[in-house]
Amino acid sequence: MTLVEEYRAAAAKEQEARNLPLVCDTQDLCGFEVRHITLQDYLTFRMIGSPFFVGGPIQMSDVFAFVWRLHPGYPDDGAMANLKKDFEKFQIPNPPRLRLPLSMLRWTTRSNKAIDGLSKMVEAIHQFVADSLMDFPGSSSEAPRKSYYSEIVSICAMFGREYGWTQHYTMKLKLRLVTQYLKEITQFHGGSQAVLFNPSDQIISRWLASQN
Amino acid sequence: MSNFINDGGLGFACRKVDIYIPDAGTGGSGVQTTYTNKRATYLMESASPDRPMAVANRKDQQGLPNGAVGQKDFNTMSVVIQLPGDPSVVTTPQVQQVQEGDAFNIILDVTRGSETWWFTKIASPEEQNGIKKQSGTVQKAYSMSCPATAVPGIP
Repeated sequence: MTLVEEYRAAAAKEQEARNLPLVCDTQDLCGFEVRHITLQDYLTFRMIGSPFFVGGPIQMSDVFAFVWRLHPGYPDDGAMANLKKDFEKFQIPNPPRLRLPLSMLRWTTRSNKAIDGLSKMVEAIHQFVADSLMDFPGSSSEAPRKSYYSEIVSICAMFGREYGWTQHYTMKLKLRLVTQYLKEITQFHGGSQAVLFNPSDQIISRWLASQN
Repeated sequence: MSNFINDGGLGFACRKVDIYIPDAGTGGSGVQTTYTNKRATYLMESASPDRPMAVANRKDQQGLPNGAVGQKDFNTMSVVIQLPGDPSVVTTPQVQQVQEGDAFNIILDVTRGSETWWFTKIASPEEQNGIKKQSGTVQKAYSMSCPATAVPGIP
C-alpha cells in the first residue's frame, strides 16, 4: 500500500468514526449493543478508574462495568440480569471432575473460546474508546499551568459561551461530538493559525521522518 | 512549474517545505542574512498569504472620497507546519522545532513564481499522540533567498 493509499484509508476511517454518532445512538461491540460514550460517562469512567481510560490491567469485571454502563437498558435490573447471562460465555468453565482425554479436550476448547471471545471484546472496547477520543485537543509544550477547576467545567463553560448550551445538555452529549465541537471552536477563533490534529497525521509524521 | 504535487490523498494546501537556518556570521548591521544549511523538511498543512497594499486616500473639501493611490505593502502569511519525527520512536528525539528567522522557499502560484519567506513569529509546538505541529507567521523576503525545496515526491 502506498503512502497516499494508506493516508486516504485512514482519513476515510476517521470520517466514518466522526459521522457515526450523528446518525446512530448505539454501536455493536462483538454482539453487545452499547451507547456512544457521553461526556458524563467519560467522567464517570475516569472517576471509577476504568483501565480503558486510565490504563492498567483489565479484569473481566472492568469489561462488564464498561458494557453495563453503556448498555441501552442501564440501570434496569432485568437488563443487568440478561447482560450477566450473556457474559457467561466469557467465563472459563470448571474443569471436569473425571479428567478423561475427551472431556479435557472439550473443556480446553470451551476455555479457549471464552478467552478468545473476551480478548476480542477487550480489543473492540479499546478501539471504541480510541475512536471516541481521537479528536481530543492536543497539548502545548508551553509551561504547564496550575489547574483550578475541572476540565469538564471548562468544556461546559466553553459550550455555554459559544453555543448557549447548558451544563446538563453538554454532559449528555456524545464524546465524539464534544471533541469535534471543541475543534470547531478552536478553528473558528484560531483561523488559519489553529493547530488541529488527526490520527492520520501519524502517517505524515512517519513520512516526514523518512525525509529527514 | 509548480512544485505542488498532490496525488489526491493529502488535504488541500499540504506542501512539503525545506526550512533553512540563518547562516552564522550573517545578518549583522549592514550584512544581509544568507541561508545555506537546511534545518529539516516539514509539511506545511495550512498557508494563508496576506498581500495588502498601503493605500493613501484623497478627499475633497467636503471630506468625500475623490481619489486614492496604492502601493504594494509587505506580504505576510499565517502557516501551520507539522514537524518531522516518527511518533513510534520514543528513544531518540527527532523533532526539530522551527525558530524565528528561519526561512523557506516556495511557489504559491506560478504567476508570482518562487518566493522566500522568513519566520517573524513562531508559537510553541503543540502535541497529540507524538504528532507535533507549530503555527507561525512568515514575511516575504525581498533581498534574502534560500535554496528551493526539492519537488515533493509523495509515494
